[in-house]
Amino acid sequence: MKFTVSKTEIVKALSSTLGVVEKRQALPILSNVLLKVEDNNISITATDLESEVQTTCTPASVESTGSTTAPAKKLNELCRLLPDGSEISIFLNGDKLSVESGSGKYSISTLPSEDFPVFDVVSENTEFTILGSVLRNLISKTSFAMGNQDWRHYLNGMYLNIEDKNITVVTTDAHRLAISTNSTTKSVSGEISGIIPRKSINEIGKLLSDSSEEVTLSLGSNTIMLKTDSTSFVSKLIEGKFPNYEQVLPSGESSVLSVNTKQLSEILSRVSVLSSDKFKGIKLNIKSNEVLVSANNPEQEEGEERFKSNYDGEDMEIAFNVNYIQEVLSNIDSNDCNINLYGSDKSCLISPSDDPDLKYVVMPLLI
Amino acid sequence: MSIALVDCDSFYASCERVFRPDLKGRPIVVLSNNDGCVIARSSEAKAMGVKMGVPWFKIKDRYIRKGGIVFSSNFAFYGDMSRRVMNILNSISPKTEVYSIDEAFLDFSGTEKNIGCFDFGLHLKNTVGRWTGIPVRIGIGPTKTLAKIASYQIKKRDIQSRVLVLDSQRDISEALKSTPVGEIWGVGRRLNRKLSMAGIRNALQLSYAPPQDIRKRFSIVLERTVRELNGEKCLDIEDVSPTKKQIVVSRSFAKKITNLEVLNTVVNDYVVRAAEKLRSEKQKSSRISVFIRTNPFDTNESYRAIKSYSFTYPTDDSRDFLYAVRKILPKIYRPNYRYSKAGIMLSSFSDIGYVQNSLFNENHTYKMDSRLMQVIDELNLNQKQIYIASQNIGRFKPIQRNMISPRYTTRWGDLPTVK
Repeated sequence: MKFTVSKTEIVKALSSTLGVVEKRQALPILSNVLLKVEDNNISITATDLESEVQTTCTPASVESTGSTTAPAKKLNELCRLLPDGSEISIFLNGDKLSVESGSGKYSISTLPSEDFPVFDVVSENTEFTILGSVLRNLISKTSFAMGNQDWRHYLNGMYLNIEDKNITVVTTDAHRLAISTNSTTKSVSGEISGIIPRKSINEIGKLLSDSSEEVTLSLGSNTIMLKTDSTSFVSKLIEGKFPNYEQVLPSGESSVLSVNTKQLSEILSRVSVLSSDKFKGIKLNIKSNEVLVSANNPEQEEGEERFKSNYDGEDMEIAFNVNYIQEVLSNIDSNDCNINLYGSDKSCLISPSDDPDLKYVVMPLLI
Repeated sequence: MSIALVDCDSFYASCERVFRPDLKGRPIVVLSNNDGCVIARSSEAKAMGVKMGVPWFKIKDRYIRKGGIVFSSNFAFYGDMSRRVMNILNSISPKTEVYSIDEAFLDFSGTEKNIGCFDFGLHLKNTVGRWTGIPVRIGIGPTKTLAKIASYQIKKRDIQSRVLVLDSQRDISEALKSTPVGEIWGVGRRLNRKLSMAGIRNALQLSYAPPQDIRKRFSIVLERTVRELNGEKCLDIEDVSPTKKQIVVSRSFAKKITNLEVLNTVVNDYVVRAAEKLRSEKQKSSRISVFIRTNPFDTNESYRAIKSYSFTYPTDDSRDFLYAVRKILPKIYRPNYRYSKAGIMLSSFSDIGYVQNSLFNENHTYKMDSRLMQVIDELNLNQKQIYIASQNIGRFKPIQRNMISPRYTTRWGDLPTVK
């Protein structure tokens, strides 16, 4: 195996695999990437056994083909620190990988490519296409509400459902829930769904960061695969049943509080300085013409602020974990949002005034 | 600005003497659960050379022969006596921090101008002595750490008035000089060794150390100590006690338990006890852990296990915790082992003020209504009257306390009679 490649090409490829490589792993080979050199193509693969990313780059020249595995972090660091515009020559020398550029000669340990665990992709997956920017938006608006190391393992990910041309993503940690819908560019027959693990969602988000092209997703019973022009990413799905989110969406008669997103967020930031560290509780006293936001803490400090409101219901006092509301507000791009209130002990529904396809449900604190 | 530390002399031993004046001047020791080790000694027992924590069986024969008196621990009694002492302190000084079962810090600010710290201390000591029978010593200084040192000096110099005020620089320096570093509040064994190696052997030497250096080489905690030794008040009296992070109830058994049923009833006792504590602290917990183990010194058998159960909602209801124990205890129990200790821990606390409800409480919806538990707590306040059926209720006696004194102040039947 021997080839030369430009610094830009290989660094771009290596860095897109790094997110999958675990910092601490049980098997030494999982800290390596698999390098596979073919005539006009280098493929680089990383896996953590739950997910796998494979990306390709174009070599400047290939002297001989072959494959090996080398430590991902070291290889990436080395190539990244070489002078810009460098041509890098990489070849196998016994069981060492030699990296040479200019007067620099580096030799890195390898492990046999046969030992690298490969993902079995089941072929019965249903394939559809979606604009990268649309998928990125779906993820970025909802991923904050995923569970994190929750013992209900099915909450530690994003639920994805596609029916015809409608794609719905749902995340929840049981205290709040985010739901966003949009459309795919190619429809599927019937309905498919799955729960994508938290880490994989973060990786997919990164891979889509600059993609406005169409990407292909294929969803099976236990894996999901994302393909962009140069990279493919496969992840196992979380087994288990996602909670019935439709049941959680509050319904019935509600009163609507319309607020300026930025104004509310700024007031909450100030008032919450004096909320308790643990609960971050803030209270809203909502009246037809005015809302009083207040907080206090065990040190008996307190703060309050008022703002003019637009509210059509009965007076209400409701409390929230301020972080939950702030995270929602920070994901709302429109100037105004509507908070639908169903009672001080019932969940509320928050949505941007101009986007009916994005909804957030937040459970209040009981006082 | 003055702070007083009220410290009960040999508290457990003093409690035992309150209703047994005949024991005055006799050596007294109190033993740990199952009569294992010595956990408290009267000054007479200390003078006999009885060490703290020594296993009872090692000293038993010699101690009894020499006329020593021994008691099993009677925590219900000590706890009640402590409450009485603390109530008196609270009624006399508005700002009191109960620091442990036998110590409290009091704010003496203002008394300097009126009757003077020494006289006020004397009054306090006499009042506690007359009303409860518990002898106390009172160390007074400009900071908590110096108050602690004053208290140590009373013990060390055997000051008859049992009150010492450290207010002049000369008195303070003298006291610091004769206080070894290991006796300073907050300096434990390891820190003591490290300080000795740095050539700091007494409190006066530590007080000379530049605080910034101490923070760099040791910790901010020790920096505070240094500043406090120099009369700079860093630690305030915490009259609002900080909320607990966890509640643990565990016991070693005198007679080993093999049977799951028996183990279950015993553990249920601990659960009910912990839940009572939780409610009295006005807290809720959303996690319970149960642990069991065999005797760790037994080389023939060794097994230990711990398992936790998380609730989707914070609770203070005994029934919820018992439900969890019913789920997890059978999972960690292995037959054919002789268990020597079991316990439970409640954690993941939230204040009663706020409860974050879940979106998906299909089975248990948390209600802000705990009237049943409230009624049970009220009925059981003075004497256990209502039990949960799965509790032990004295069916098994895993704890041995053969030499326990009567519960003079907490049980009607144990009231001392005067002939």
